[in-house]
Amino acid sequence: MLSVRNLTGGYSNIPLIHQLNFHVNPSEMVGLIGLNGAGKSTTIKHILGLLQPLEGTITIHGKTLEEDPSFFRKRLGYIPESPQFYEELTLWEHLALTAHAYDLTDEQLQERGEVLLKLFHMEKRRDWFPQMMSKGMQQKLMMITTFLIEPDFLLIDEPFMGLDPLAMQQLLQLLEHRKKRGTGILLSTHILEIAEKYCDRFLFLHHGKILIQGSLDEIRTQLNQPNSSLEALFLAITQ
Amino acid sequence: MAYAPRSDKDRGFHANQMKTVDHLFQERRNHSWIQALRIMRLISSSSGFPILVGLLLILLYAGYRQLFQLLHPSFPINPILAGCIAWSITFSFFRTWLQKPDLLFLLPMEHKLKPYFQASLRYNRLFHGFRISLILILLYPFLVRSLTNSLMILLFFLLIMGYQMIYTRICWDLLTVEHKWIQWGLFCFHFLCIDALLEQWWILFAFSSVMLLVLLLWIRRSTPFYPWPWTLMIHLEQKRVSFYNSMASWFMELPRKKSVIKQRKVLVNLLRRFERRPSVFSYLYWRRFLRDDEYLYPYLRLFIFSSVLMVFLPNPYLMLFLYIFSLILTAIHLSTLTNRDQYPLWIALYPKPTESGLTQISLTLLGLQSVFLSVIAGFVHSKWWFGGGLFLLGGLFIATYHWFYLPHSQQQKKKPTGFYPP
Repeated sequence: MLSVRNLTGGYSNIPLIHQLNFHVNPSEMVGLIGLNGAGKSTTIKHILGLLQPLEGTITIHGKTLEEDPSFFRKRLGYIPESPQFYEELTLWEHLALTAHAYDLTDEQLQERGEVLLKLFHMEKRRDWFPQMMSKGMQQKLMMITTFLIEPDFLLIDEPFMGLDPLAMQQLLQLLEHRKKRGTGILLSTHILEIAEKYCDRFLFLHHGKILIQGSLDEIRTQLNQPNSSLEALFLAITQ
Repeated sequence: MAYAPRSDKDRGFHANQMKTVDHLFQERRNHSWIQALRIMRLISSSSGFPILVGLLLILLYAGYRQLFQLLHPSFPINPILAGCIAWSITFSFFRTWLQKPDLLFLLPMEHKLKPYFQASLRYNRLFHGFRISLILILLYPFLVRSLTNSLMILLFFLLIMGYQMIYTRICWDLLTVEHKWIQWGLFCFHFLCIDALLEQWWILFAFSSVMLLVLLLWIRRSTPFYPWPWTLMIHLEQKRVSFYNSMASWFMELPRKKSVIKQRKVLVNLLRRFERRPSVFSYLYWRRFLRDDEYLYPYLRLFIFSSVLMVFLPNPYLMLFLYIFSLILTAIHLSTLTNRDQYPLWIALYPKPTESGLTQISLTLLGLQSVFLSVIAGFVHSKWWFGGGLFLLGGLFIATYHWFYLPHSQQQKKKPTGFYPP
């Protein structure tokens, strides 16, 4: 289980998120919902260890990053909001580097890499450099790299930006597939219809605080709006 | 519909806009020089640097004098002089200080930018005039030996300077004529003209000058006035800036500028043949080194520069200095491979420590450099014990770098667990 307890943090000692408490179970997709600047990306960066919390603990299967960095990092996968890549590596070399970093065997690299390239229609681009790719392709590169390691938990920050409808569908299918195989997913998105359809639980973040969390039905009950959509619920809370 | 000023306020805005465009080149040039001077000041104020440069200059001067004395009077110095001068004239670069955002902001005003490029031409003429005169002054002892007559030397100076002024204009035209062979053709004619002038073969000089003139006229005529090659000019400007940055980064850490990445399939395929399950960061650093111009070129330049100086200035003290100096520079340069700001944030998420990656690449490249330079030194000095001694010294240096400097510098770069600046 990925567990976040009393997390307070931000940039340069200025707290942007306050006393967050939540968890992500295996085989569960949790939607992180909030307006721009609500603290979604900051929360994800804290979980990844890219920012140091001012207060609180983050554990994966009971272990913190400080206790066992290798164990912690091997279990986390991340797809960032904007494309991140090594300019000097081709698509396949990105996969090879990731395989080296996460101790995958050559067979695992070959097998998983080929499947993912085919799935995202990138087989012909395996020797391309990211600079030669469109933004959507760069986004796919990041996804392929992340799915290659088959992590226990996936943190995804606005994954649908720049993707064509087909790639978006493939990503969602892949997320469903990973979820069935035991991966816990924390999905930050503004596309509420997708979140409503695919996520099991939701965290509504506003000004760095969790206003409400639970399944759609639980939130409907708490807000006393039995038939509302996720979007309506979100607007009701934030307005 | 074209925009026309309708009020005094609009007219004022237009006048200001023109004034801004007129002064834009000057502003950019001044800014660039101020930056360069600031960097030079920072480098020169760092501990030990003035002593190092002073020592290098004294040794270079001693080596230069020794070379001058060693050269037999029958040595064909003229073709070498002609080659040096022809090279520096032909491959003159043209600075415009254009930037990528200019495609958005300046390109639509292309028709109003003539003063900008005229100012750029004036600057380049002045700069290259200064540059060629510096080269001629450095070559002066050889020119005296070659031309003997002081009137001839003066005429040669004036002729080369005058031609450089004209040729700077041609450099601008060459931006739109993208064929590489034209530049090589120009180099051949420059070489012929200068060599004929130095040898005082007047018929050959007249013939090659006419041919050169025809080629220059053809270039002038075949260059369209519009459109200006914006993307090429921006690309060349980036290349020039990254060249200066890579030079400066030998002496101090600079904020990372965007560098040029090339595929270099042959080199990477060669690397793959020797790679046996490399560590994750070794895999990354090798590819960064081979494909990034900011790493490969300085290494090769240093390698070639040291080798050439060792061959032409065979002073044992200078060779010793060059050997150690080039190893130090390479070591410092390679240690910048681990700078995290040049990589995406993935590097902070890997479950592996970054320290181990640099060892393999730095040992290989420093080892190669030390072996090669020792062999050259032994060969030039005709005493193998000298080469062997240098090799041992190099080994000692590499061991110190590996066991003491590297762990210390990596420790300093290491951030608290997992922390990565936002």
